[in-house]
Amino acid sequence: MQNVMDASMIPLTGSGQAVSELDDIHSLAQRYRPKLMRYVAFSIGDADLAESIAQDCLLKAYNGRESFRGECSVSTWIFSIANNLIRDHTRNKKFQFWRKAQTRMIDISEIASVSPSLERSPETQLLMRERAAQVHQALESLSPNQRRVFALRFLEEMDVSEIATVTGMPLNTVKTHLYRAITSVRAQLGGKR
Amino acid sequence: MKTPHLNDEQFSAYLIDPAEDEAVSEHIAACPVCREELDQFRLSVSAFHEETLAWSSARAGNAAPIETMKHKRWTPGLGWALAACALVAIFLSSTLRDHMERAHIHSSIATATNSQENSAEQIAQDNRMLAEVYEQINQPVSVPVAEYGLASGHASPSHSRAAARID
Repeated sequence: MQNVMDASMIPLTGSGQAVSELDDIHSLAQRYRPKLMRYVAFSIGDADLAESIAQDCLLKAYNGRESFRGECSVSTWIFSIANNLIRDHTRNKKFQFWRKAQTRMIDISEIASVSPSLERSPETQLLMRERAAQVHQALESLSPNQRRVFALRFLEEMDVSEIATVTGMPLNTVKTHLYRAITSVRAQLGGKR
Repeated sequence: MKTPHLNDEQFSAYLIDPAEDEAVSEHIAACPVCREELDQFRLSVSAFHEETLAWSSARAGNAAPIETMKHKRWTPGLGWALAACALVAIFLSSTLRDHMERAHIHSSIATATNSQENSAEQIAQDNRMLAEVYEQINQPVSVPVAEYGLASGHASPSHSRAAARID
């Protein structure tokens, strides 16, 4: 795993809270595993592989926690590791072969089968599901990089500089991908004038 | 053509960084149409966020727990125990080797004696067999040519096979 970002590659400052957060693998997994799985799943379109990568990512973060000094948030650091693991997997020839043979996005029906545990009327739930499906459909037409920056901006609520740190892209490249992704999603939602 | 509402670029710029352009922020605050569109976009993304997080949380809940490798620290006591085990192993292996070498020598001597006896007996048997063969060879053989008196000068009926071969 030559390309995986090592913990020491991110400059860090002292942050006792962050280190203590990294010290407990179970709470780390509880907090970040679902987010990591979602990010990886939407990046590579394979939920099973996303599960495996998310697990590898958490182990790497835990094992490399002593070199974390807090110049970025724990979230940014962990997503950076995940992003590099994704890059390693997508460079793998076997992955490239199987990727051609399967869908590039997670099946919307699988997502829709799990409802968020929020108390809403059936009408509202249906409306929300339709909206989610529209966004999902819009994301299918995006490039992997556009999808990735969109997910980091709107699902993980990172700012542009954090996205640049996670993905290793220049700021302007991140902005360009975001412009295109937003335009495409807005068009799908019927908001483009 | 200038529109009274935000264009795509302004809209995207606001969603990427709301604080980047004050004029855009002011317009959204004042324009219900643009604000409504912004709200619709956020609502849709929020629905997608909730649905996908519920899905990944359900999958993560079913996933196997993460096991970390626990490396045991090296302790001096463990080192001494390992060294003692190594010494015992060396002692046992050298003792066993000596024992096996002695057993091998005894076994070799016994084998050599047996083979010597066998060899003498075998030689005697071979000699007896050779004597029998020699006796058979030296017996007179009737020669068909001699019966007709054609080769009186060449071979005699008393010639043995061995003698004929020597001639």
